[in-house]
Amino acid sequence: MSKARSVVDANGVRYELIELLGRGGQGAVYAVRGGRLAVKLVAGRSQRDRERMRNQLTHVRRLPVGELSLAKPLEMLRPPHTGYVMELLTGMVPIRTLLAPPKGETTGVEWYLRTGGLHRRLLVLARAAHTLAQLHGKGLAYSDPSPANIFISEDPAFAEVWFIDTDNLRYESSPGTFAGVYTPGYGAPELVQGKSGVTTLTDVHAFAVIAFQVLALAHPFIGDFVNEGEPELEEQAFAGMIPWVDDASDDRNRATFGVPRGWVLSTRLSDAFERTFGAGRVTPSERPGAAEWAERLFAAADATIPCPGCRGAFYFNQPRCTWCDAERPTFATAVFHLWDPNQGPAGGVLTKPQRGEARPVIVGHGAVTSTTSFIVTRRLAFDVQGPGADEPVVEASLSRDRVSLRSLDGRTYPLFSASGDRQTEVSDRQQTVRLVLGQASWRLHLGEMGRLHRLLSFELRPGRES
Amino acid sequence: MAFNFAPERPALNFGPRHHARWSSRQFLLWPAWAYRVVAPRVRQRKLNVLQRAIMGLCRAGVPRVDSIAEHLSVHTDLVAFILSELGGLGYLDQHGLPTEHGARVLEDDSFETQEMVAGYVFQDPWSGDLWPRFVESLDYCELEFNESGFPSVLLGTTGKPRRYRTFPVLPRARLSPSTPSAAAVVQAVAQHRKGLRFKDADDRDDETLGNFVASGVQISRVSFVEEEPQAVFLLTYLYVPESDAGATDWYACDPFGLGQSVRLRRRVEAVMHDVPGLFGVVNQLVGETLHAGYENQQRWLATIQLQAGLEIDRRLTVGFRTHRAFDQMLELEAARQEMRSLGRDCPERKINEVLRAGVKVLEAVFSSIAVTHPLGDIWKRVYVSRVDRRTGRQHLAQQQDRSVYAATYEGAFRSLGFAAPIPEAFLNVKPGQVRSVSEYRDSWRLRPLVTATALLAQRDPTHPLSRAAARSPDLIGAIDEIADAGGGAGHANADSVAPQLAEQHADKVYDVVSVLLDLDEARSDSPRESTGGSHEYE
Repeated sequence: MSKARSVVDANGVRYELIELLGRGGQGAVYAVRGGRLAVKLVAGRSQRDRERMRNQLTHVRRLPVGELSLAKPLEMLRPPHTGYVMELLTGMVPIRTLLAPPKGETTGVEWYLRTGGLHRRLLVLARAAHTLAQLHGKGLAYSDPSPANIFISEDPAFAEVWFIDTDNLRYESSPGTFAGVYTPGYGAPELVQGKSGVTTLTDVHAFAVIAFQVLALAHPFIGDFVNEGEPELEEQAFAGMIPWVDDASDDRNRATFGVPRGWVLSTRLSDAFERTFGAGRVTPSERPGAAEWAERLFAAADATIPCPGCRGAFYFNQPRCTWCDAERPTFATAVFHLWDPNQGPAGGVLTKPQRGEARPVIVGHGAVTSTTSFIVTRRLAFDVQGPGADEPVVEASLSRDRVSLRSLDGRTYPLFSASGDRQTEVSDRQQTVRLVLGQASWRLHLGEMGRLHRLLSFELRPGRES
Repeated sequence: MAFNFAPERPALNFGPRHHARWSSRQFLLWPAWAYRVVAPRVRQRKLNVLQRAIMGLCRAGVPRVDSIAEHLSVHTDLVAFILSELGGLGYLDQHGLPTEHGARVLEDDSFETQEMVAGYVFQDPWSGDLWPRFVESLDYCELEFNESGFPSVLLGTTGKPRRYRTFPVLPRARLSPSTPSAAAVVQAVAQHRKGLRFKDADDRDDETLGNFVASGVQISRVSFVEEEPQAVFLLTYLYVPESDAGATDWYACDPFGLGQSVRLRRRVEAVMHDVPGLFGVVNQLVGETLHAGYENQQRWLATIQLQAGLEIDRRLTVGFRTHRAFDQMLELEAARQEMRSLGRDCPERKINEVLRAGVKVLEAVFSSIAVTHPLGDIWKRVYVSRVDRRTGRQHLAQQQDRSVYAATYEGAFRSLGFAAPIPEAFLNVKPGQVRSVSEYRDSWRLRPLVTATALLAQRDPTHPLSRAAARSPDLIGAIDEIADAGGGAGHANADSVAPQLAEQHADKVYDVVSVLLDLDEARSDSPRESTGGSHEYE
């Protein structure tokens, strides 16, 4: 790139470049004066490069991705510069900041928790998977998910996720047409081997690598065997020719480093990783899709509780905090079932047969402790995905054996006793329900009784279970 | 072009800011018509028309008083005064020729080729008035709509977003825009500049000084880029500041980021009964039935005014109601009554109001004295005759020697019978200020007014000030204290004053007025007994 201090877009608007935000193989991104935009200057200044980029940007700008969390290209730059103007993501950093601590700081529990801990990691990954799922739902592949292209909130108290570098968005490509677009270490084996172009399945492979790194702080294909072997082994590993570190049937490439999987992976997440890096290594169609990743990651995040000692989140099915070994506090699980108005004469909880008996369908869960309230979001209450999914609907707080419920969205929700013969309602005035061990709790209906909707019940779980 | 205001219209965020930490707030989307215009960039001239003309003549080599007076058909004294002013400002040298700085100022002020600026002005849809603001670009903000169609504004950063429910103010009636005049656009540009200078200050003066347009601006150069305006919403919020005393008065932010806005609050009050839901929004904000509170407040203010009038009657007789200073005295007494009613919750600004009102009362009283006893050319007592070396002509110039004019003032005050020492602040009054108050009746500045009056009264034993001095030799000291307190209250860095001192200050004003107007018999030194008010300060 020339020492440009300013660039001009196709409409003649001049942008003053004030700060280099990042530089990669494809070019460099600069913040521009004015605060809300960035400019990406792309390597390659020939007329052909410019034409190719112009066509691609024109194509991307026509794609139906307006509502997704993607930093979209806004306008091409005029020659002599090649690149485009895009939205600037303020208050965000690449997700690679969760992969390893900065130089000079050692990897450890303290850093892991300080950067948001397990709950935040699961949440940002779930949101990233959700964005990918929405993109895939439109038949589009992102092409190059990498730790530098996914941005998350800089503030660990927040978990916003945006994707940048969306100039590579495309409908699934054929082999060879765009074979070069992947970041080493994140390309799916079939892409690295040149057997396939970018697809939604290569996207989910790259995403799963990032997810494993974010959670376990280890690359799924760099175990001890690869780490200590010849450099060529790494190329082979990235090409899918060596088993992954937690392969269920081949322990050649085990990793003696990284966070113990039992601490950070739920059973369903472990299963998803095995399907991606085990069977999915050679058969891409075995990989879970982005929507399934989103569902499993959200469920995992909902299944954590904060430790009253170290404040780190851990799975509530663990008897002790995985980070500081403190005893698990008493808590209540919040379980979401489906209410089917056509079940029985007056409606009932939707069930499904399982091992010979009808069991209630569980569509979501959460947990409330005496120190942290549980916020029922629109995602949990109404299965809303995308914008507005995190808006609060109901707050539940626990005090000894009592759960207090309060509406946060201005609506009132009916609250029935387990037998259904007593009824009250939850509004912005708090209602308190007593929980008894081994007994079904009152149920909060999150919809009209005559329609299919979710209902919420609680179960008290003592800290130390016999 | 859509002229209706629907929640989906673009919302603009110019960064509304509160003046104090808030305890509760409510975001509003305030409707406006946005006009894209090109207007001259307004700047304040440094020279007035006479100064500019005289500077021009001096530059052309006509620095003589008489020649200038002849060219401009003005009195030589005025020319001499202006020359002296220009010299004082460093625009003219000792030879009466423009200095380098003066030449530059003259050049800047003379050029009519003003820089043009493109931007937007905003019109209130109900009144058709322009907001006194001008922006060069529109800063859009993101809105999210829930299932019911209610918007939330998305603030913060991408990584740390904040969503706030926002109330869109939708006019009930279908309003049509009326294109503002070019003068109104220029005025909005000029007022915006002024607003920037007084950022964060109470903007109530925007309306009282609203007719200012910088001289020399070519209104004909204003043009509308688009014929029809765009219906937009301005993001702002109403808020109740944190208060230990539990006060629930609410404020509105200037939508253009200049602090709190009295203008917007007035607009909210004006339309809150016509906009469905707005009344409820404000009501909810203050946490009580505002309507009842508003009526109570109106009743309370009326009672305060009544009490204040009665107190003035009692202290200064009913005859004072026809005096020119009655309004100012009513302002003082009403502020004092409010201060008493608020007790320990009384805000500092109310106390300052009492202090400032005291100065205004005395200025009005002395001004009224000047009506019956015109100051005329009494200022000449502190001017000296000078002879222009080149022309040989005589002209009057300010006495520059402080010891001379201070001695003149002191002599006047002492001969009237005022007790020594005469406060230094009176002895420091510049001769030019004495002339100013003598020649311009609306130029009320207390100390120069008193000083000029003393110079006159020295020659007239029947003058009210002569008689007042005889009755109360300490009067000049009391006037000085009142002026001091009032001046301090007008400054941001002034120390806060206790309510008791403000009470004493008000009493002092009554005493001074009584003496000046010879109403001694009506004086009372115990206002609390007289009013019977049950107030308590600690």
